[in-house]
Amino acid sequence: MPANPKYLSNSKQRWAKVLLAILGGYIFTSLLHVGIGTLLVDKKYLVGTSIYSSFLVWTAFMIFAFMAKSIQLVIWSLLGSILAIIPIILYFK
Amino acid sequence: MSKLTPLPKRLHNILFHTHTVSGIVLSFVLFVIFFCGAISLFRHELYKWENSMARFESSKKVDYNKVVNILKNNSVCLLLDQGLSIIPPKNENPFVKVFYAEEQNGGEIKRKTASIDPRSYIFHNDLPQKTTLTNTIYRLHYLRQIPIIGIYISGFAGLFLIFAMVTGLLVHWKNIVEKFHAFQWKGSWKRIWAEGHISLGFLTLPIQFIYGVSGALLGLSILLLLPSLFLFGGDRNKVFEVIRPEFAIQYDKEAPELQDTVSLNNLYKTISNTYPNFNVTRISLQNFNREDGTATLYYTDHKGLMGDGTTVFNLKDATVAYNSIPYQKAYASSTFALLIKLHYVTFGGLALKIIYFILVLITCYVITSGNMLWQAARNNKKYTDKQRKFHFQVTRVYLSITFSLVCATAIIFIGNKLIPLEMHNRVLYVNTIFFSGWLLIFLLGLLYKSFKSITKFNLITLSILSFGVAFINGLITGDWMWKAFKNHQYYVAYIDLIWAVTAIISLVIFIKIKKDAPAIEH
Repeated sequence: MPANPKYLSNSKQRWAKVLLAILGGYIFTSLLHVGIGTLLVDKKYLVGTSIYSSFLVWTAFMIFAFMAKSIQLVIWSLLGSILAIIPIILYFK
Repeated sequence: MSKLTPLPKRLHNILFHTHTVSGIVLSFVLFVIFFCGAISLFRHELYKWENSMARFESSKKVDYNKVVNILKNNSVCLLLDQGLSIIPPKNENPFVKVFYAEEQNGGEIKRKTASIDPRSYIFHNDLPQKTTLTNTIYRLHYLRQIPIIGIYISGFAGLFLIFAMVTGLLVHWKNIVEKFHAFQWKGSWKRIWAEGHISLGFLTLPIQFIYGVSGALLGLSILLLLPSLFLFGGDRNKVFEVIRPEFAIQYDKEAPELQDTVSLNNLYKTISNTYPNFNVTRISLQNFNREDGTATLYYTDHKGLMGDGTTVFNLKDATVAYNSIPYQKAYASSTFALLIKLHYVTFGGLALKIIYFILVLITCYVITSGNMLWQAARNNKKYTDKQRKFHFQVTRVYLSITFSLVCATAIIFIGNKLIPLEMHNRVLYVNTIFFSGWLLIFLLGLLYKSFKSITKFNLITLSILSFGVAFINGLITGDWMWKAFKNHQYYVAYIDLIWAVTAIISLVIFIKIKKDAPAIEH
């Protein structure tokens, strides 16, 4: 029943993935919420929603990080989302 | 029976592994959090049991102006600008409880609690702290005893609970229809653990989801504040204005003094006349002696998820500064309150609390069966002896820690009655009894070399201790179970009864575990 090790990443990559999943998850969650928030006229809806949606987005990112075929994919996705969201925040703020 | 489509092989294996690893690491802390949380659900209902001074009928009419005056007379250096809260008496706790701040000799501010008897208005300094039973278990529930980081550990446990829950759902997805009602005690241990883990885990999914999100929120709210702060240009107050508007009112410490405040009793009456089916649960006074002072009244009908309201009155002229009407709340300001309500079950009444309690205990079983399954699935020739020994030791330590916590719960009930209420430094002694008792039973459990003997040892210990709890309350306070039933002291009587039933059930299971039950080979 235990997972077949041939599908798992090696131990160095594993630790990097754990770290990326937790930290990257938080960065992605915060950026996403701030990004949507800057687009909204009434920011209170975003604050009220972030109370529960943050943990769900964070978890989703963690699962994505573990499912990704390579660690590069996770890093590029995170960098990509940062590069996409920050201009929006700077422009609309 | 039909099977659901499983995940692709690679994803299944990866998620399975993350589910297993996060689950094993979490299992220790999650069991403590869930079990102590289950007991803490009833921390108000337990109050009359833990404090024999509270076993009287409360008077319904309380003079709140007098309460404030008594507090002023009995407190050495009361700081009114630090806020002051009054909790009206209720069925579970007949005292009027006050939370206030005092200035110590060195100028340091100390938060204090006191109880006032609503019949005689006698002031009991620090009484709530002296009865530390539920307080200790409640604090252990969010790991408060670990300095500084404890609350964050519990918050992250909530976050990873969501993670373990979602990965578990995806991994066991293909078996859910088939194993939906697979409750059986036949076959190999591996099968029993697997079926219990999957079927009960699926049934308790909603409660795990509620506690994952709300627990993470309570522990990690500081992390959520950062993005919101950014949106409001770093203004903390504006964020509070959205989430808890009554906290965003600004006060001036230097405002002129107010000679004649509005009567608190009149404010109380205003609320009880407007909402006849609601109970006022808290009166919060800010800047009480100043012109800009307010009184915030919180009230609830104990039923609906939106069935609570908040009204802030100006103390100068009784005008309403902020009002949140029950069942008419705005979305943004109700999500936080809603999650807190779902967490503490302050809606739906006692019956719902009992359902929560049962579901949380089943969740404890899901956690334990997951740990057992992990060991049982690895107990074969694919693994070296060293690996198998490691798996066995981890599970053995897990079982001993968690079972001894259950026994230690009975110990703190006994300790609460053994140490007299008047004793100086009582909290320290009760906590020492609890934690050293937990450690002792944990270490004694480790002396046993098989899962079955650890279980049997803890069952008989729990049985003896539980009999002790039901017995010691009658012995020390004179309120034996049958006497308490006769005197309508139901909170006391039922708690004794539940302990007696626990004692009998664990004794029966202890006797029923046969020597030749399916062996857990090592």
